[in-house]
Amino acid sequence: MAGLVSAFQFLVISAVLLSLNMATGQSASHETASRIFPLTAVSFLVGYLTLLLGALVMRKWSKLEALLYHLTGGIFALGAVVVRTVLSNESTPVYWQAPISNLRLFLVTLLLFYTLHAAIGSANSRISEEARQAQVARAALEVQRRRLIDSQEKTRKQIADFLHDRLQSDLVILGIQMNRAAATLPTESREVLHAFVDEIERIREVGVREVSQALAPELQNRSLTHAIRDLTRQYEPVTQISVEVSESAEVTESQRLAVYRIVEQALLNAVKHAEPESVSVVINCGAHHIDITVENDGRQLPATGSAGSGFAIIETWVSQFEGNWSISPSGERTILVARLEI
Amino acid sequence: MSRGLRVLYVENDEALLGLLSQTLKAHPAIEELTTARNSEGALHEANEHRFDVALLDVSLGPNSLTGVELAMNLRDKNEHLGVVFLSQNISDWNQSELDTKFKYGWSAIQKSANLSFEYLTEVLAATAIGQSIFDPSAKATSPKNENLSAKLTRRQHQVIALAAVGLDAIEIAKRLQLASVTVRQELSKSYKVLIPNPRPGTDLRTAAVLKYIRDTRPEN
Repeated sequence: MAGLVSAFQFLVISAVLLSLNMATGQSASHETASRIFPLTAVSFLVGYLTLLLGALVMRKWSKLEALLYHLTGGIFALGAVVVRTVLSNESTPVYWQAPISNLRLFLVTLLLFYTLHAAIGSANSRISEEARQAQVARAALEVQRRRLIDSQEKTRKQIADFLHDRLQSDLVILGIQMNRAAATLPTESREVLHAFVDEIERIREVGVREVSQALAPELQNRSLTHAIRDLTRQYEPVTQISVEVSESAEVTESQRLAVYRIVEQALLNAVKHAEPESVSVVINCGAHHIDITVENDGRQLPATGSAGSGFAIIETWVSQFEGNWSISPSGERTILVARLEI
Repeated sequence: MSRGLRVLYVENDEALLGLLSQTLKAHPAIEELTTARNSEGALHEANEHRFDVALLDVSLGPNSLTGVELAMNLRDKNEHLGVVFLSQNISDWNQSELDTKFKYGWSAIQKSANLSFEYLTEVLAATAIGQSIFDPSAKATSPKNENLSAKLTRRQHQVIALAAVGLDAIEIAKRLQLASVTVRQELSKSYKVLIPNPRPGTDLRTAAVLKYIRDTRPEN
């Protein structure tokens, strides 16, 4: 900042001298240059140091900032006058030698100081206002994202609850009633009915349960290890998956859900895009954070890969817990690492 | 035990509540059966009466504590209360976690159409005197839906496919121009392939046809 003002001053002085020389019919010869150079260099130095010192002092006594600011401006302008007076000689234009010209120089330099500061200040405040707005928008987006994910989980939970509670109960009741009715029938019909009941039970235990688990994993009465194992089981026919979970009692249900959803996406992405032979899932619940590592030995990510919806989902969950995540190749393998703060 | 059991049964599904409580009430081992539809009602009943054992559905709906939470609250009121959980799938329960929570007199039973009331009553009685039972039928669940129909021969495929649309052996024989004896032989071979471990008292043909339909149905 100080450098900018001084440099500007340097340019102004050079321009004034050149124009004066042209006005008096002299060309910008070596002679003039030898006069311009020390004058501008010294005034640059004095101006720069003054402004630098001013900034340092202002930072130290921030309460007196306004006063010190104007004082710096005054000294800066005064410095310009002093430098010119000291460096004046017989070749200095008469125009500059009159005492009133010192006052003029003082005022012009002071004006320059204020004008430049005002210009830079307004630009700065505009930028910081824009930055502030961007920050507000970002925070709003974060809130929206959280709401979206919350309502999504809520809807999933409602459907899962319906399947799990209502539909399963209905099927149990149906089965019990059929068994009762069967008891009064001749053996052959009874056995047919039993086979139907078995099929209903199978649909209830496997079909309905799997769908309801996929919609909303049961994490209330279950450990994370169980839930993750259930999740990886469905990939067993296509790839070999190893799971390692170190749990901690302090991990809440919502944190478990976040871990589950992140692993779910990581696995889905790995299996879908990389077609790996083996995948390893490691979850480490520490005192302050949960670390998730999902590694696969499949095809590497394309360098210019566009982020898919899976990554957006991971990003959303990670941001809920002020964590961070990354995916990168490591030798033959691709490693996804996510950390959640707890 | 000289007198019958006093049971508190909590279930949010009204139909199931009615069905099970009717049967349990009729059982000679049960002296008294009180029902509640949610945790609030259950805790209220627990203040009014004294029970030997509570039979609790695990998921009691959105306006209630879960069965496990309710059990903890009921234990606070009566430390001798046995608790029996009735759940859709106890196979993935964390048994040791519940063991540290309840220590004694807690059992878990798989909700199922084939649940025997005799067995349920036995578990209630055992839990009431402090024993813990984990329903063994739960471990047998999670059957792998292996595609056994792939193991059938071409001829077996033909006969079972026709059986699946409802034809009997004679009609199948006519359709395939085979002797009906051959058809019967092929069918019974197919049953063995499709249902390797039949449950006693179930009709093999029905079970095998259902399995065949399931196996050969295209995904989505």
